[in-house]
Order: sequence, then C-alpha cells, then structure tokens
Amino acid sequence: MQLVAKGDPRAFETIYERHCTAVFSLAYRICGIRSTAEEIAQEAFLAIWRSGARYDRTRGSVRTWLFGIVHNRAIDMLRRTTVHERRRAADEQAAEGLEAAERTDVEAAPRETARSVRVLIDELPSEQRRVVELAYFGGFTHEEIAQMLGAPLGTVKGRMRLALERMRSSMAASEVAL
Amino acid sequence: MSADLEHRKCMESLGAYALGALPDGEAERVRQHLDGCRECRAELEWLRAAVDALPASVPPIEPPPELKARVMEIVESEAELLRAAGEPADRPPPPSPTPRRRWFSIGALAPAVALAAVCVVALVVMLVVSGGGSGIRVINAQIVDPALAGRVHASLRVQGTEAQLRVSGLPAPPADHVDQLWVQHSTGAPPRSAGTFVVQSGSVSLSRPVRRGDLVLVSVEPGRGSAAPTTAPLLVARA
Repeated sequence: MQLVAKGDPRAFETIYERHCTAVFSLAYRICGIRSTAEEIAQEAFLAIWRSGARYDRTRGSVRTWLFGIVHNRAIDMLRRTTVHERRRAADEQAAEGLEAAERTDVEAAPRETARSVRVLIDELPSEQRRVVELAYFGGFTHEEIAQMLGAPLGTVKGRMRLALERMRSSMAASEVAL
Repeated sequence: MSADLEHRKCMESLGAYALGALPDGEAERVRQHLDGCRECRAELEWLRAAVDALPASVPPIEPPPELKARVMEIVESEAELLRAAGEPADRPPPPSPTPRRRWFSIGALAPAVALAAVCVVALVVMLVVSGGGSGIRVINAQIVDPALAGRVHASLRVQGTEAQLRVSGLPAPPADHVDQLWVQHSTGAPPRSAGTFVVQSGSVSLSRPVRRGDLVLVSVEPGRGSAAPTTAPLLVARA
C-alpha cells in the first residue's frame, strides 16, 4: 500500500488482482445487477488508489477496507432504489448465481476462511441468519425488517445481537480470522 | 434518560449498529454514547469482527476483464498526471487541509481533482470579450482526461453569475450515464451539481450561479446524475 500511496500503478494492479473477485462478488451479492456491481467495484478500487495514503494498517487489512467501501456504496445505492428494482435485482442474481458459481475457480476469499464463515452462518438459527442477511446484504434497517417479518423491534435487535455474538464466539473458538 | 438506561439501550442496539441497520437518528445516539463508554466500544469491536467476516461468505463471481481494463486505464492516466505534476503531488494530503486545498477532501476524487485545480491555475486563459464592456468573460477550460486532450475543446462563458459551457468533440457518456456539471465555490465547500447534459458539441447553461474564482467541473455520472462527483473530472475551468 505504501507504493500505491506513492502513485505506483503496478503496486495497485497487484492489489486489484488480489481482491477483485472478492470485491466484485460482494458488490454483486448486495446489488444483484452486474453492471451496477462493476460500477461499485470500480469506485471502490479507485477510492483505494486515490486515498491510499490514508490507509492505516492498524485499523484492518486492505481487504477489510475495500469491503467497507463496497458495502457502504452498495447499500447506499440499494436504499435509493425502489422495492420493485430490488426484487428485479434479486431475480437476476438468482438466475445467474449457479452459472457464476460453476464457471469460476477464482475465490472471493481464501478457501478455508470462506468455508469456515459459511459454516458459521449456516449454523445460526434460521431467524437469526435471516435478520443478519437482510440487514447486511439487503440494506434494510431493523425497523423495516421487523415490519417485514411481523416481529417486534426488540426481537429483531436481539436476534441481530445474538447472531453476531454466536458467530464471534465460534470464530474465537475456531480461530477464524480475516 | 438516565446514564444506566442509555447504556443498556446502547448495548441492546450494538448488533444492529454493527450491521448498519439502525436509522440515522438512532445510530447517531449510539455513536454519541460510544464516545464516552469504553465498555460499549469494546463490545462493538468484538461484534464487528463477525460483521467483517460476512463478505467472506459470499459465493465467488469473477469480474469481467473489461473492469480491470477500465480501472487500470484511469489509474495509469492519473499516475501520469501525478508524475507530470512533480514530487509535491505525490505527497499524502496533510491531516488538516488548508482552506486553499480544502476541496481535496472530496475524498475519492482528491488527486485528480486537485491536480486539475493546479493545472487550471497554471493554464487557464481568460479572454475578456470586448463587446463594449458587456461584462462577458470567456474562459478556456482545461481538459483533465488525457484521453480527451486535443480532441475536446471547451470554454466557459460567464456573464454576471450566469454561466454557459460550450463544448465540442465531447464523447457520449456510456449507457445509463450522463455528463454532469459541478460548481465548486472558492470557499472550499464540496462541489454542487449544476445540472446534467448529453450534449457532445454545443452549449449548456449551468443551473447554479457562479462567482469569480469558482471551479466549474464536468464528470461522467451514473443514472441521472449524482449528489456528489463519483468520477474524476473530464474538464475544469475557473470562472
């Protein structure tokens, strides 16, 4: 990142190669439209390129930084779209999901970490997993989720908290880290 | 609300806060509490590691090769501009920008936009159109995007606080994109939209008043335009 901060395109290219699949995959998982995912991924990488000097290693990895940028932009975009558009995006994603998963060997995260995190999420009680996915990948607020599920606000908040605690404890026990 | 109650409510909300699922007002209250509560900060840090792990669960999808080509084209061109601007342009921005460079804080656009400003200061040519004291000023714009240099010509025509941009040879924006005008006041405030357009050769009026010293920029923006610039400017002129 020091070289990127000094404006070295080759150093930036290395970072791009290392994280492009993960970045694009997250953007696509959230917005569900390829062209929009490309825009978000492009913005995220250019943000890293243009503000590399502000990167602080003590606050997390470059990958985590990129994920943060992608998540914020994708959720902002999602919250500007209508419910109809969100549903259409979800349909497109569902139609493309299998094809994409089958045709690529490139991984969004180191193989072992990705598998471990998926197991952690799969092991959550379904009602906890649902609120986490709706919040993080769907960009819904806890009030919207409560309305959607017909559950009290406090219950939704509680499920979010319990889900993260459970994931975190399992991560600590199995030493999953990013 | 008592401090204890506030603390309990914050603890209950930390999961939703970490997931970004609190409405703005509630999130702000949590942020304020976090400033003064070490216990809640530690708890948030603990939970946030779980949130940070969520992207790793996403099924991998390979991005199209064109994405890399586009990103690298921009990166290479900006690197070239930075090199051309010399050593000072390569330095990280200072923690507290001076008023003169405050608009650097547009964040994502900082190096390219800042460089554009430097170029404008150095290269802008102001031609006062005579017309018997009509008060019309015509300013040649600086083409920032090297791919457009020599192919695109643009000038800003200013009369009072009204301005009109004249362009020729501007390529059409990509599908689902528009060209957007921005006015950056010399006070250093963030650039504000002055309208969108799809003209490749012709004139377009700015919907926002400009004052002497303001920067007028054009960038390509997705959809029907953005609230703030999301791409490096194609051209810039100082009114």
